[in-house]
Amino acid sequence: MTGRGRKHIPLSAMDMQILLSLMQGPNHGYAVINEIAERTGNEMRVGTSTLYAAIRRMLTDGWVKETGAPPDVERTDVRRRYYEVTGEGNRILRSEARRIDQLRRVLKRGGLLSDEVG
Amino acid sequence: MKAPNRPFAVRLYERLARSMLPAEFYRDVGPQIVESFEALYADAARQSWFTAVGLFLRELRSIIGTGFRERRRLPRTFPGRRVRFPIWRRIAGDVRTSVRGLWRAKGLSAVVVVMIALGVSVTATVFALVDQTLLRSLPYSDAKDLVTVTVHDVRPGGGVLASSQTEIDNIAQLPGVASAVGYDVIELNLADDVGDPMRVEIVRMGSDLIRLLGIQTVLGRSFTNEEIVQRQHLALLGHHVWQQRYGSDPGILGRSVLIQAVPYTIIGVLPARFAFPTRADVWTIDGPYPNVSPQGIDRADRRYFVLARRERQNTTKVVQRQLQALAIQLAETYPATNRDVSFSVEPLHDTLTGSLRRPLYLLLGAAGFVLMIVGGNVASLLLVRGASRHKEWAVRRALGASVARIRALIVIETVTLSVAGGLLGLAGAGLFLSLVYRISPAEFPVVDTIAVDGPVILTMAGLATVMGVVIGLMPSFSAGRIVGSEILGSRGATSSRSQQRVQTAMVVGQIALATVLAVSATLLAVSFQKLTNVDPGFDRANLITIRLHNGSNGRGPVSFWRDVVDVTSDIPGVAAVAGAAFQPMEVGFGQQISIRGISSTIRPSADFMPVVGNFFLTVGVPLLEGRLFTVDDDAEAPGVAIVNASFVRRYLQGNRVLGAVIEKTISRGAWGATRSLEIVGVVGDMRNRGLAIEPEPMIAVPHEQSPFGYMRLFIRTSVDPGAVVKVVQERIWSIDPLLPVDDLQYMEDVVHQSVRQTRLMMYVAATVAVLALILSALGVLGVVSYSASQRNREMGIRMALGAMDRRVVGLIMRQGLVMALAGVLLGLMGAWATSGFLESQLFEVQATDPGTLGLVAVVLIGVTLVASYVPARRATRTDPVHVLRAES
Repeated sequence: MTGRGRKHIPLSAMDMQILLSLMQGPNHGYAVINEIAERTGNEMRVGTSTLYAAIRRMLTDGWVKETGAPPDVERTDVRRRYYEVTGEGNRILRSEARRIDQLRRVLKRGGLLSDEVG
Repeated sequence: MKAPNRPFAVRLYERLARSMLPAEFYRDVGPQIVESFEALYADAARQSWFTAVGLFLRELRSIIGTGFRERRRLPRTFPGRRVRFPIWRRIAGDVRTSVRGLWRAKGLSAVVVVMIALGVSVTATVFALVDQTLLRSLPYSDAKDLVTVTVHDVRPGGGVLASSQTEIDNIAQLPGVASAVGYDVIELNLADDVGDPMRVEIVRMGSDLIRLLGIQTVLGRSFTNEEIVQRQHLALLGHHVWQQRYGSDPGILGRSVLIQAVPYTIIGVLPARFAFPTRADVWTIDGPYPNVSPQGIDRADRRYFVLARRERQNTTKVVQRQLQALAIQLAETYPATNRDVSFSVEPLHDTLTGSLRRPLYLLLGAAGFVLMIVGGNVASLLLVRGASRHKEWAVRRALGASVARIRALIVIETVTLSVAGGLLGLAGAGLFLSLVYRISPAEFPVVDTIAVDGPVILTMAGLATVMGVVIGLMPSFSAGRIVGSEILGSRGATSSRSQQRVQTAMVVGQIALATVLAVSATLLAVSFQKLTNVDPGFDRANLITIRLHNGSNGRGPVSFWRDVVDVTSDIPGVAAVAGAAFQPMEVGFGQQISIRGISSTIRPSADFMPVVGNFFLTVGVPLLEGRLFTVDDDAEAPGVAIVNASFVRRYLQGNRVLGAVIEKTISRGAWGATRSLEIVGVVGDMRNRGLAIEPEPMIAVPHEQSPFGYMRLFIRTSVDPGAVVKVVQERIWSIDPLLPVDDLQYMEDVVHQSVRQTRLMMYVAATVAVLALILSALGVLGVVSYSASQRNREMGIRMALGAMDRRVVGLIMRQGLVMALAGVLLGLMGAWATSGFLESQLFEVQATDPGTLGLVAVVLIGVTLVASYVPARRATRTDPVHVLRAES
């Protein structure tokens, strides 16, 4: 698992966004797309098939899992599925965040990065 | 599941997704994809159909991309953003990023911007000159159809003749010619009730030149056919006269002014920019012909330049053939006036700008060189900067930027720099242009102002952009080789060997270009020096000249000039006074002559110059043989002449000079019938064709024997000429209060003026060359400093091992010397190869003059060495301990 996860590092921006959206609890594709758009100020608009391709890959890798609908949601469409981040996904996301933070500090110490970069 | 009320777009999307995504993939997540799309589409459709279409297209792209990747089982190519922003937003973002980056490297950016500004300002200045004088069409209606017709005397030494009205009428009747007008320009006296009498430049026209040019008056009207036929005394005013003398008075029409004491009525005012054939003051219909023979107007009365408009469908060549046929026909019918006469035709634009073409294109070439030097310099500076930015680029790569994107970023950076430089440069060009125009307005006859305008700005904007892209591409290639992992490694990126080679090559190229420019500038300076050292043949110090024209009080020229000399010669401070029809630096009346008893294959001609009093003594021309004119050489005495040395050399070689008899043949206008003149003296040559040109034969005659109204007064003073001017003016007004005495010139200035084109060329070339020299010195400085800093460790070790400062300096400077030698050698070869272009602009110096080439080589090598000494010196201050510690 860990080995397979490592080849995805560094995480792509989209993967990171998807994981972020699924971290706060079970969520479905349409909402994820809207959340990402909202979070990035409409800069990142993920295509539906691109999103599901990524989710499918993360399912295989065990980063996310399918769950039932949250209890407070009234099920309206049989096709709608809910996903959430697994422990492994959580671990990957956090280690990636640490990596980026470390990288930034190293680079800043070397005088190579100012606040704008990264 | 399939609700019938689903929109068409959703159904289409489902079908597309099903067909384009791999089956396995679709089985897994297909329904979810469609469901999400349906929800998104419903949102978008609620906003606007435009949003919906946008969504659909984006989703379509997503399907295609996913289908492609899933099928090939490719991982995501780049870890970066998948989703593209609209192109303009990406560019705006990149520009923001690059401006931020450039701001961080303020010093370097400023240097680059200033360099580009210098290059662009020089180029824009010259381009504006070229564009506005050579490329743009003249400000007349259908200007390309306007042609000048020149009349030639085809005999050897014959030269150019003026044309007669009858001849012009013949030309106008040619099938290829729509119309033809004769005109000449003369300075006459104008008096009115407004102010002091004024000397004005008057264009006298055979018929309506204004109509031929297609110019509308801004006030009043032009001449009617009837007025032209009747030769009525009517005048059109130049705009500046109307403004300055008459305060733009709209009531000027119908007012009467005195021109040479003859009343003329003002009927119109010409536009401000109108200046044909010169920026004259008044345009009139020429008065009645003085030499009307019983058969009508005399063909011998040659007094006009000819401007014609060709029929649209005929080329200039066709008109030329028709003119040739006409010349033959006229020669047969009127042998007395038209034997040996031919016509040539040329577009008006060529006539006006012909002499400017070569110098301007040379300047444009020089400006191009400067721009290339600037480009090389900037590129090499950015290469250096690029080397220190490898880490930054590596970080960008690691964070997901593609190589193409980093390249684009670099190119956008350099384009930003060169556009900023370009803007600054355009402002500089505006300044330069006003300077050039102020130094030498007379050099640019076509337009009355030259400015940085639309076409110039557009061209320069294009040029700056192209330059930015080209300059940016160079460092961007080295950026392309960077991989993201580089930042994780500890080794900092340094410049590669090949990059240093590129830089060295560019500096060598810069030195070579600077050498070519320096050689040209030096040659021009030497020419100018030689030119100003040419003896004009007379003594210019303390000599002033005033143009006078008798006649406003109806007196004959002989008595008028006797009076002028009388009243001015006893002014305190005045050493000598005389008169002549021309300045020593002017071309006189060309006159066909023969010399009695001497037959020659060439038909002699000479400049005729009536003189008053002791002209040659006054202006300081030496008498070489015989005698000067005396008071006895009056109208009753036999005709006498004094010729110059050139005359003797050309026509009387090996013959007796004194006593030889000159006979005038065909004469120009006022010069009357054939008359014989005995040569009584020979004087030294004056440079009557300009300093650079060998003098032509001249015949001086006593004013009493060839009276002429239009003369110059020459006053030699023993004190500063400025001190006597006022008194001279008053004394002349005592003879005739209506006479303008404002056209006063110092002969020093006249000589000075005669070299102004050479001077202008020299100034511009020198500026350009100095600029090039400074820029390439900076280039050397930059490259040597950089490579010295790269060799810091080496030098530290050498010094730790006991190398002397001298040795370290030598090591570093050797690099500069090698570049200097290579560049100068290449440059000298270039200068030699391009010498042909410059030859025509030089005076008494060869374009391959070894002294000049040697001097330039020494100076350039010297400057380069100085530029590389600075970093070499700095290298010796390296602390070996520091360097070695940093290395461990």
